[in-house]
Amino acid sequence: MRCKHLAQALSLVCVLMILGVAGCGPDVKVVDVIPRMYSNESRGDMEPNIAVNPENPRHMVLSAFTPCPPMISTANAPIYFSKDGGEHWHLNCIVPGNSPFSGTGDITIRFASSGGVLYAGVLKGGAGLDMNILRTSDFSSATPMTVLIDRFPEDQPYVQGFTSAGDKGYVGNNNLTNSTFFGGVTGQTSTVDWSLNAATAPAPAGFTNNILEARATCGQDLPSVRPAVHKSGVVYVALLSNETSSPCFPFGGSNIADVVVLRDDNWGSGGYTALTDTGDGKNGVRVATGLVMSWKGNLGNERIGSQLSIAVDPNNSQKVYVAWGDGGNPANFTLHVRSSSDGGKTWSATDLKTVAAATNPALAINSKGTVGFLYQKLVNPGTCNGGGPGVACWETHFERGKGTDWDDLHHPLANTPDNVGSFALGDYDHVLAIGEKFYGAFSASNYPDKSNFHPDVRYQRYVDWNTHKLYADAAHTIVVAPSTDPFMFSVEE
Amino acid sequence: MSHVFALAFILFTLHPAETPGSPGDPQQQTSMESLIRQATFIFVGTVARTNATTMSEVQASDSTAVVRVDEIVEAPGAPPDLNGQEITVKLATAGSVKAGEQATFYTKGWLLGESMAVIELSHTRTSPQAHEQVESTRRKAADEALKGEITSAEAIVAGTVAGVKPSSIRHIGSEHDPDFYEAEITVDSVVKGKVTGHSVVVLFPNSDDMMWQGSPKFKQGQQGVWLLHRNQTKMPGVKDQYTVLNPLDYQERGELERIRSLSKAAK
Repeated sequence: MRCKHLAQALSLVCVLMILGVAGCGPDVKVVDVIPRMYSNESRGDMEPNIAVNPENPRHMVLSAFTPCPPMISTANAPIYFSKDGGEHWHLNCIVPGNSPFSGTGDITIRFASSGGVLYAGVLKGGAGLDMNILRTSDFSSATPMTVLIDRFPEDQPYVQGFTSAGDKGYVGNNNLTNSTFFGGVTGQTSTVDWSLNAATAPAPAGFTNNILEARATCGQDLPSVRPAVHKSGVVYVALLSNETSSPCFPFGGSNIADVVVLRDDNWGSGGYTALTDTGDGKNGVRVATGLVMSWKGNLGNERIGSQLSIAVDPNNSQKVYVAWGDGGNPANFTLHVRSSSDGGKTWSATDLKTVAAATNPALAINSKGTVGFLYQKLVNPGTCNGGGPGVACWETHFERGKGTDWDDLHHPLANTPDNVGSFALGDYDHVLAIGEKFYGAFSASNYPDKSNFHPDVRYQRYVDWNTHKLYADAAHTIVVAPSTDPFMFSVEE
Repeated sequence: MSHVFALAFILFTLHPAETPGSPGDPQQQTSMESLIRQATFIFVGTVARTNATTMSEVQASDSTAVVRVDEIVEAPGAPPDLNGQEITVKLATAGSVKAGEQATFYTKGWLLGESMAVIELSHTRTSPQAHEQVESTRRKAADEALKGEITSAEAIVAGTVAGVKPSSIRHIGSEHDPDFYEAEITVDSVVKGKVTGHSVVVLFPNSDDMMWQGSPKFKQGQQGVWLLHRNQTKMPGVKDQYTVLNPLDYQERGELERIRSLSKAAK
């Protein structure tokens, strides 16, 4: 009965909101995924990624730069998983290779659309630029993931998947074998490894690779190579082509790069050659050219330089959005969102959304055609607590929009101090959509102040919100220093 | 295949918990050492419930038991308040423990969440020697790891860093660029190999990128022992140059005699 009264009261509140008395916001969940039994950790768990099983969205997996506690394993790095929709999270060390400092190198994870097989693209922990493509049919078992591909030298493997007569797997990566820095000849490094039978076939499980870069480069592309898959078999890949005139990774300087989008209309079997640029006649349409991208400069304490995301409308394979970051001055590194309605042939001439002093753009489109845009913006001085007076703050925003009309949450997902250490957030975050609901992952300082987060934030680790302290133990006797933690969020309208 | 038989032998001799073992029995010691080397979490515990679990992610069966942690023998990185908590043990053999039974559990960690789950390798009767056995085995393993680096090192020197400067090696165009620096080491003692002159130059990654966080970094005036390798990495530009990438490749000066001793033993 109490619930009924509560529901009636909530309905009344919402009616008042609809009438304009207040804004009726979406249902938001924000959870720090560090498990309670790992409350003693205080490392920089940055650069997160998230996978949600479309068949059972209560099943989620999240990755970050987290070393496995030696009492669990010194050989394998962890993933975090939840089987109850993100309410509770667990650590399971099943990714082969484990750096005692970061667990893995770059890592991304994804489920295909059915079958529950989890895929990972990872720079193997403790093995430098050695890329593994991995899979497991049971992310909660103790059995390490199966290695499907093992290749050196590589960078930033970014995985996507879809199920249609078997699991299709796509791993965008920067194949440094072709880099002139590594003795390669062509300098054409942007690559996708893809398979039409990734779930069951023995290693390499059908994975083969296509060099995507069709243009001459200064010696190597930027590391971001991002695929997006539509249920019709249309596959897009966005890359950052490093122009021949670029200084090519000047230490502390800027690259000059083009945002290029390629398309394949048959799951990759066509060689990703469906789009030709009308300007230079080469494969892949240049969405924007001559972009100055500060390389390893810092925005606050965050390094920037290679920022890219792409998403396709699940109801319209021809509608695709891309986001990137550019700017020669790190302090003014700016994110841009543009779209195409004709399968990537032509693109909006101006930005649908522009965000200055920001990084880590991530896009997804839900079943209603709403675009979700996750990014992290530096505000200096900011309004967050915990870093001291006048400190710069990282605001993690999630906006929803169509065209140029965008709607931000009434409070950032996080608004946390920049002065918790360098490289505090990582080089990417992620958002995806299943049905109407968005799911994402970002990293932020875990300094425990409720006003630093969306009101619905929840920690699993031992915390005293009133004294702003973290603890290693249930009795709150051992204080743990604030650090960077990975957070899962969901937004449902 | 031999290691399979070895493991079978260990399980046969150590499980169920009715084999106290004789401390002086060499065969028993070897089995115990092998078991300790596999284990990541060793504790004395009392079985609270059989056919039970503390985590919904682990299904209760006759292969699971809830065990109260009475005393941690070894658990690097464990929660500080683990003693007294109940955890889930996936048993090596179904039905091998009884409620109320106390034993030393040799396990591999599995899940950390609201509670914890571990996978049992074996369990034995509690023994006052357990701590000593574990410490002895870990010391031996640490020596073996260092001995491995000593063996693969081309030269080993003790000395002082005279200066540090950026190397001329081309940056690789990756956010994971090691940003190699050169450290010139004034050598006062050579443990292994031939060193020409009074100093050597070693490359080390100055980058604070995650990929290189574990590699030693050096500054002027720093004293120590360097295990120098060539061709330690496939990164371009460093071929045939001395590098120091593994955390074990740099040791405090106080480790010099241990390194000398291990170096002799490695010959």
